[in-house]
Formats: sequence, structure tokens, C-alpha cells
Amino acid sequence: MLGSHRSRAIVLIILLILLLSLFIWYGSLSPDPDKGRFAGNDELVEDYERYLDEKVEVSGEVIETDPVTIEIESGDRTIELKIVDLQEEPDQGDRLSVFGTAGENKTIHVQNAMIRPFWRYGYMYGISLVGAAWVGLRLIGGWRFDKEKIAFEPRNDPMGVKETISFLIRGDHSG
Amino acid sequence: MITLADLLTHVFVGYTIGLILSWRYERIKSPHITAIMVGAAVPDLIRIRLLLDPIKVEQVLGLPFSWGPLHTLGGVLVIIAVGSLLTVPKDSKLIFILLVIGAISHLFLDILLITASGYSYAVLWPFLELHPPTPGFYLSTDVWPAFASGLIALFVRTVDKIR
Repeated sequence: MLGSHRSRAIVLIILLILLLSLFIWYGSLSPDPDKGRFAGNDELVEDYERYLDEKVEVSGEVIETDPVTIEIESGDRTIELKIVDLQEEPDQGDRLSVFGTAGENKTIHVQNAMIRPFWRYGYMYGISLVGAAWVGLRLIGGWRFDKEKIAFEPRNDPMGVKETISFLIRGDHSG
Repeated sequence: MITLADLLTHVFVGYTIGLILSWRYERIKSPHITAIMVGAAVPDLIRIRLLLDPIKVEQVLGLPFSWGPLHTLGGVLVIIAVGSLLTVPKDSKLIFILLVIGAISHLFLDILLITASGYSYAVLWPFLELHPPTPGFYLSTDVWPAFASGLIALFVRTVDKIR
């Protein structure tokens, strides 16, 4: 059924429309604490007062340590939240994730919190790039694009990672 | 709130699963192991939100918008269906299954991530809205998961070479 280019193109379009609908549907969900979905950065930046006395889960950079204050972002907008009842002592620049109750004057009463030093994020993104590069190289070495079938297929003689790198450096992309 | 483990850990896990499956199933060769690794990376497509802020997409579309589904079963299945549709028809069913195996390993590992609320993300959305409580095994910024999964991958690779 999916043999012809035409039927594949139609299925592809249907899938992309389905995906877009999922993005819109998910975007329209509102917080539902009973299901474990709490108001977060976006909701609080949008309208803090609406979530007064509700459980919220936010994270942001620590911009002040006495009292602990974090800046949370949503799009281009940010707000500052005071964090009270915190057991831990974060340093300025740390990332703080907080679960607690939204109180008056943009103050969060902490129930649980996690501190992560900023460099840890650098580590996480750095090592993730290594993972992405490895998969990328294996894809280039193990798969080829067939222009007539307009489809990817496994190579009969997959290249190892080292071979793929030298293949890329040679600039011989005809295979 | 969605937290992500580092991608390298997921890729190591996908590689390990792929190698072990290749012992049992002759059809699974190196490019197919890669497909499982790609599947294991798919939920991290949600990082697109770092480049394309959903709030700005919302402003352009005039509709609510979230990249969230990319890190749920439903969104992942659609992405994988698209991916396997782009492979040659005779292989597409197998590729679909391999990508799903990789993606499920990713979604499962991420349920174990520590969160501040103690609740994980809506892994089975849109089939189930529930955010399951997380046992809180590790943080996405922890260093040990990549080491541990890397060691296991290395061990399995060594066994694979000996076979």
C-alpha cells in the first residue's frame, strides 16, 4: 500500500498534520495537580496570582542568596520569585528546581528542591553532543539515500565510525 | 515538568540493546543497531524548544503550542512513523519496530529521573494523562549514568566481538 511515492506522500502529510495537532493539544492543557501536572514557569510568568495557594513546580537561576531569589523565564519574559523554607543553601548562578506552594508577593514556600551547579548543564550538553555525533556518524556510515526510491536504506557494506570519518574527509559522497 | 537524561546515556543503552538483539535475530545488523540508537535519541528532539521557543511559536500561530508531545509515547510514535516511512518499503516495518524499541528505552529511563515534585512526565500521553510518581534514581546532570551505561555497552561489545 505504501509502495507508490504518491501514497507515501499522502501518509506523510497526514502524519505531519497529526503531529501539529498534538503540539497544539498539549499546549492547550492546563495544570492538573491531581494528575501530577503542576503549574510551571510558563503559567507563573503569564499570571502568577492565578496560582496562589496552589502547588507549583518551577526552575530558574539563583540571582540572590539572601533571601534566595530565582529568575524564571518564559519566552522573552522573566519574573523573580523569592524562595522560602529552603533547606539547601544554593550559590548564586546555580539552577534551582523547586516544588512548593505559591504564596503572596511572589514567594514560593518550598516542599522539595534540587540544586544543580551551572557547570553540570555544560557537562550534560557537551556529552549529549558526543552522543549525537556518534549516532550521526553511524547513520552516515550505515545508511544511504536512494534517489529513485526517495528513501533511506541500509548499506550492504556498512562503514565503521573511523571509516565514515575518513569517508567524510575525502569528500567522496557518491556512495 | 520534563527533565532529560544526557543523550549519550540513551545512545549507549540503545547500542547495548541493539547488540544483544543482534545475537538473537540475524536480520539485525549494524545499520539496524543504529536505528535503535536513533530511536533512543528521538524523545530528545524536544530540545528543539531551546531553538524554537514554544511561546514564540504560539504568538506566530495564534494557537496554544507545546513541544511536549515529542517526549511522550504518542508524539514519539508519530515521529517514528514519519521516520520509517522515509525508509525503503521492504524495511520500513522492521525499522519502525527498532525505532520504537529505542524510544521506549529512552522514555522508560526518563521516568526514573529525580524531579522536585516527585512526579515524572506524562509518558503515555495522549493515551494516559497521568504523570507517574518517579522513583528518583538519578539527575539528568549526574555524571555516573553515562559512565555506567558506557561500561555496560563496552562489556556487551566485547562479548559481541568474542562471539
